Amino acid sequence: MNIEGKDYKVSFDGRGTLTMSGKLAAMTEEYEDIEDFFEKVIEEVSEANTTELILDLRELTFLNSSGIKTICVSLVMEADDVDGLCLKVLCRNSLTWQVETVPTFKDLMDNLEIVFE
Amino acid sequence: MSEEKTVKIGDFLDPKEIMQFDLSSTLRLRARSIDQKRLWESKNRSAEFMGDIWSLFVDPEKEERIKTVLHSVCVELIENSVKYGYQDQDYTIVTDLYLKSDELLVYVINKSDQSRMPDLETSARLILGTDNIRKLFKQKMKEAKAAKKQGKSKSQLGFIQIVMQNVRLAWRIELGSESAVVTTLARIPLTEKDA
Repeated sequence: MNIEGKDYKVSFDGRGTLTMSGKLAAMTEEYEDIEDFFEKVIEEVSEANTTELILDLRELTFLNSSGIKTICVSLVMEADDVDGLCLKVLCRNSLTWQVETVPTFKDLMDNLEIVFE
Repeated sequence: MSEEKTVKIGDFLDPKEIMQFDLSSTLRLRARSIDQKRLWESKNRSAEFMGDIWSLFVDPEKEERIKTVLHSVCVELIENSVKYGYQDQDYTIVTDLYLKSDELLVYVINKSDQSRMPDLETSARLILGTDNIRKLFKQKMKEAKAAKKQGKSKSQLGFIQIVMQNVRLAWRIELGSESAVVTTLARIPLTEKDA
C-alpha cells in the first residue's frame, strides 16, 4: 500500500519496511491521510507480531515540522506502545535535516535504532 | 483612535538598523490573490529557491548546510504566515533576507488576527526561555499525542525545529485594533564555530 503526493511517496511493503521519499511539506489535510496510513501499518505489524519495523528515510530529502510531528506522534510513539517491536530508522549522513532531527526520535521510543550511511 | 502597542521578544534587530550587509533580497506573496493550495505550493517553491540561491553566496564548505537550513527556516515561517494570516483582508507576506559577514538574517512579516497574539507570545517566550530544546521537543510531542487522542491537532513544533538547527529566533509584534503585524526574525550563524 502507498500514498503518493506531488513531490513525495510513502509506501509499505507489507512485510516490515516503510519507505518515505521525495520532499514532504504538505498541507494539514494530507498529513491526516499519512497519519491514517501509519495507523494501518502499526495495526498490521502488531497483528503479525512483527519484531522489527524498518523506516527507510534515505530518499526523503526534505521534511517540514508538521511531517516530523506526524512521524513522531503517529508512528514512533505508536510503535513504542507495541510490545516487543523494534523500530529501525535508515538515514543518510548527507541529509542535514536527518542528522539534526532524527536522533531526537530516540527520546520518544526506547527500542529504536538509527542507522546512518 | 485605536491604541497601538509594540512588543519585542528575544534579540530582535530592526531591519532599518542593518547598515552593513553584503546582499539583500525581498520576496512578496500577495496572499489572497491565489488560492490556499497554490499559495502552499508557492511557499515550498519560494523557500527552496531561496535556499538554493542564497547558499551560493556563503563559503563552499557551508553551502549544503545553509541551503538546507534556509529552506527549512523559510518553509516554517512562511507556512505560519499562510496558516495564521489575517483572513479578513487582502494581505502580503514579505520575506526579507540580509547576508552579513557573520550571519544570515531572515525576516518574515505578515498580518495576523490580534486574538492569536497571546498564544504566539507564550510560545515564543517558552522557546527562548528553555535551556534544553530537546526536552521541550519531547514535551511537545507528548502534548501532540494527547491532543490527537482528543481529536485535536497541536504541536507548535515549527519554531522548535528552527531552534534545533542552531538558529536564533526573535519577534516584533505591532498590535493594532483588530490585527497585528508580526515580524519573525531568524538569525542563521555563518561563523566557523556555529555554522
